[in-house]
Amino acid sequence: MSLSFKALFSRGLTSRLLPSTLLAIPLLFCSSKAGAQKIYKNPKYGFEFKIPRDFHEVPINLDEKWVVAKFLYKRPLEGKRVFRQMTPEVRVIIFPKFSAKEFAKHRITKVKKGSETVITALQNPYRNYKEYLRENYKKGGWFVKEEKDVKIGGLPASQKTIEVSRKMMGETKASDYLYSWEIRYPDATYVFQFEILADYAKKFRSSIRSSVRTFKPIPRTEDLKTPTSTGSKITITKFDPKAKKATEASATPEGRRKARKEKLARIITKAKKSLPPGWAYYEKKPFMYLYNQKVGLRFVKRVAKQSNMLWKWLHQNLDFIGEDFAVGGVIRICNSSAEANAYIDTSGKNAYSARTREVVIYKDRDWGFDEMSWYLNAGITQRFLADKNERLWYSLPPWLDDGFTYYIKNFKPKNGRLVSKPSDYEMEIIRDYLRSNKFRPAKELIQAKYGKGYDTNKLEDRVEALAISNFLMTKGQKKKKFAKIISSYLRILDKEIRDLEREFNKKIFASTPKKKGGKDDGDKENWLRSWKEKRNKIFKTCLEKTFKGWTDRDWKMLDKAWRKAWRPN
Amino acid sequence: MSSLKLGSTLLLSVALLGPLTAHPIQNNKEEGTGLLALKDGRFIFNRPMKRIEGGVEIQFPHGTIVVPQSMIADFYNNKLDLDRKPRNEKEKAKIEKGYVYFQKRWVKKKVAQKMLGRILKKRKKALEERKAHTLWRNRYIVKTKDLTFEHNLPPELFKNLKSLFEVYLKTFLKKWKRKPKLAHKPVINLYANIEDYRQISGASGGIVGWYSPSSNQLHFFWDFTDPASTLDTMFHETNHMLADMINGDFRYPAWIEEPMAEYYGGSRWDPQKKKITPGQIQPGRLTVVKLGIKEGKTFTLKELFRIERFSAVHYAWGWTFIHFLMKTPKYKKRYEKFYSDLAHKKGIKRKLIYGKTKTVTPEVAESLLLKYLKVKSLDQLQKEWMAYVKNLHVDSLEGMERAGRRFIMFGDTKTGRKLLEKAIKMGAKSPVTYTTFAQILNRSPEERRRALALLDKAAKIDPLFPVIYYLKGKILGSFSSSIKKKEGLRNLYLASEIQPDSWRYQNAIVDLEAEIAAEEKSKKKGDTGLKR
Repeated sequence: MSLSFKALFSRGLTSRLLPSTLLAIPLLFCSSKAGAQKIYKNPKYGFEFKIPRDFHEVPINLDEKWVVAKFLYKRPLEGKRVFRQMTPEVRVIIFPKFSAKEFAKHRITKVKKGSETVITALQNPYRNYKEYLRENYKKGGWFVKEEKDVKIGGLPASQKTIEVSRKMMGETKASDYLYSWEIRYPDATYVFQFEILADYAKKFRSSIRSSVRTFKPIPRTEDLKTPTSTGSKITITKFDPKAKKATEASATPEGRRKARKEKLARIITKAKKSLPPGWAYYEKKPFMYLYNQKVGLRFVKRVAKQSNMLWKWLHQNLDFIGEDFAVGGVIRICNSSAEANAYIDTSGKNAYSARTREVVIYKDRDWGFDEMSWYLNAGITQRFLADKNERLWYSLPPWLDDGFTYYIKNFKPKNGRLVSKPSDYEMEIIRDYLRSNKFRPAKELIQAKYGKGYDTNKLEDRVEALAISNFLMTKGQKKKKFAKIISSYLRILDKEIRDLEREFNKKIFASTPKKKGGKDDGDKENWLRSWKEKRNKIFKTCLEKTFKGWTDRDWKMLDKAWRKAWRPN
Repeated sequence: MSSLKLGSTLLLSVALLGPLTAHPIQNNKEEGTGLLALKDGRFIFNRPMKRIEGGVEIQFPHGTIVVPQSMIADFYNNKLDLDRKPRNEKEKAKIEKGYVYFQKRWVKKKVAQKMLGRILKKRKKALEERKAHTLWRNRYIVKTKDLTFEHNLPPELFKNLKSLFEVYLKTFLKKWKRKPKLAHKPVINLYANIEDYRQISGASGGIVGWYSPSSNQLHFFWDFTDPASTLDTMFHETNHMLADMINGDFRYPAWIEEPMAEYYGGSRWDPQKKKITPGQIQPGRLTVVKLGIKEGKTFTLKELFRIERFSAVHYAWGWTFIHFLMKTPKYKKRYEKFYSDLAHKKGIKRKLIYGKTKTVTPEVAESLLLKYLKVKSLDQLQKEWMAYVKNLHVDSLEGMERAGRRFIMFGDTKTGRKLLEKAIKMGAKSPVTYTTFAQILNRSPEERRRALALLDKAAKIDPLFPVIYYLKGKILGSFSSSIKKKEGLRNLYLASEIQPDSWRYQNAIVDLEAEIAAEEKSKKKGDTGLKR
């Protein structure tokens, strides 16, 4: 309403229309305040319906292939019998009809380009709503309590009441309900689904039913895509080290940067195009911020400031880890955790491409920016490393995986620079463990392997990793002996991982095509099985090289120094 | 046994009706279309089927399958023939006069048709009702004195399981001399298949059954491909429930709670004598332990006692330890006293874990165990335990089948093969044993031929097990003969008709069709000399 109001004034119609406009304004706002039902039209997929009162449209994940529209209630509802909140949600899901045989024919394609062989495998699509729910609805056990045939918009439909009960959480009665209408178009099934806490089911029943009754098909502006043509794909690219020719996109860092930039541009265009009403964008390179206008531009700028500072820090401190270029991404700022969750919660069997370039956060009105800052840092770091050197990130030893990443995630701007400080809770644990002498010597922690000597679920291990890493990146920088530990470890690890990857590629390409009854598969499996052993060997090499010449005295010095750094003055 | 009785009564009535005709029942579009309910809960419908000697013959577009009578719980067909060939002159005269032989007497054909129509209507209704009960909203709810059951199983199957539960409960309470303490009756949810179980109970991943002490609900499913495993899971999870019933707010440490349930998981059920014998060998668990020993990965008791969250490997090792204690005469009584006192005896130091629920620390449990067993050190116990484990072997045919399959699943085909060879020689009873073995016979044409023979044996046990036809299809498709390939394709189609929602079968069909088409194309090219 406010937009049309602005538009009227900007067109210089003030004097002529003012009296009538002024009369109209209160009326317009009145109807808006009373929550007038808006009509949602989706010409792309050919349907419309009245949005239930007090529901608003939320964005759909860029990778989503099944859900085409989502709406959330204005606020979360507090469970009466269950101790949790839930924001009622309406979604529309589409299952196009297709020939399973035709799909099977197109499920795998192989394309060879220079040194690359791109194998694309289509994921088996959902054939119906039941299959979709079985694989996607994980909030509890469910079953169809009632089912009847109805007509919606002149089309045959099945109306279902689905009872959900979180039995594994000890609940015995219905905790949630899904009310769904499977509307059978000639070429697809459209499902209108409403999810609600059982405590509130009665309250919403009539408004949802009246909304469904307004659902009707409208002419489509585009053909409905079949799972074979749109295809949720898994793409594997094999590089042949022996081949001389290579595609431009993969041969050089510059080529890869170009390809990434193009991909990001496509994602940004798609994201901007699919913004629902009430959303806007703000660009501050290298990020595009898509935000719910309710969070306010000031908040967006705050997020942008921190993102750009972190981006700069990552380039200054970790640029050495790879010759590739990081190109930035999309940061989506939602108005609430429900909105962010609704966006992140995508169906299975989707593509996984845009998500790798997008960070999703929300304005947390209860706990402030602290928690979100953590997610923002984590997301941005992941985007940076995915471009620079992803394999290094996935190959980190446990102490760095927990410690160093936590160090980065804890960054906050202070006096124009980023400062990483453990949270009050973490500080309390560090001090408590120091007092009770629960930490072990640094050497033991650094030597520990996944599953042997280090347990990521164990608080002591995680907190010690954080305390040591933080020390090495802050106070430890002042001491020559400790200053380069993390950077040289990362350099050595990177080299070792690259060597291993080369060996892997050789193995993959050296293997002849599978013979019937042959042993190739077994060989590869054995090779993959030995991966863990190889990884542990690499950690050992990194340790030996990074701490070359270190005596017991040096290790003791390190222990003394990092413990001292955390003791209260 | 009662299930068999019911099944055979129904079958008898079908057999009587078999050679007679009836009015075609309305609502059935295709004449001869039937509905077949199997004893294990499976249904076949919308396929032409008829009763033949020894079972029911079902026509699929790519093959005819005869289901043996032993598998059938109920059967209905809308096309039953009243006409029969006269056996003698007397019968011929009767038939000529318009009489038919119906329910052991000669009646006018019109009367017989009317009577038969009514009977068939009833039969159809009963079968449809049986099928409707597979939906959880129409589940059966059965309440007994101590337990409530909710299930969508065939009534015959449930009856057997119900009496098993009752006997188990009685045996358990008698053994530990305790009375149930729970505030309300436990609810046992039995699902007809794994899909229903996962969907309705909300279980995730590899959990095959579970009990919730907070809601006193037990959930597990019936796996028709492996009933023995179903019973193991049932015995295991029910043991948690029973332990909860007698122990109230006490929780045993993981190394006692889970392995003890596993010990009971290995119970043998004799439905005739209505008797449960716990403590049999758990083939699956033993496989894990034997593989661990082979790879040099064993556990010390000290380690085992301090593991808070048990994974499959810990379950296996823990089970051997409890099995050792319960099967070693000098420790049996002492351990049982330890088990009982740990939860109930006053003066034992217990710690709160949440709410009113208590447990004991590993240290307390360890020292008490040594005290009760009258053993000086854990090392001594460890040595005895390891020696016991080395001598544990799978002792039954069923155990051999399951262990063999497990070994193959874990990649030790050599050991698995040995066990399965032995099991097959002894007359393996599970079709899965044959299909598992057939899958590893792929090194030579001879092996593949043997695999085909094994699959035929499997088809005799369960002709509606689609994996058999899928594997046959794959194996036949791997021969160079085009006739064999086409026969392979037919088998793949048959598998897909039995289980239409399988992507695996659909993909195999497409692949083999493409292969056949490519070969035919190249053959044509060769014929026309284009290749040259």
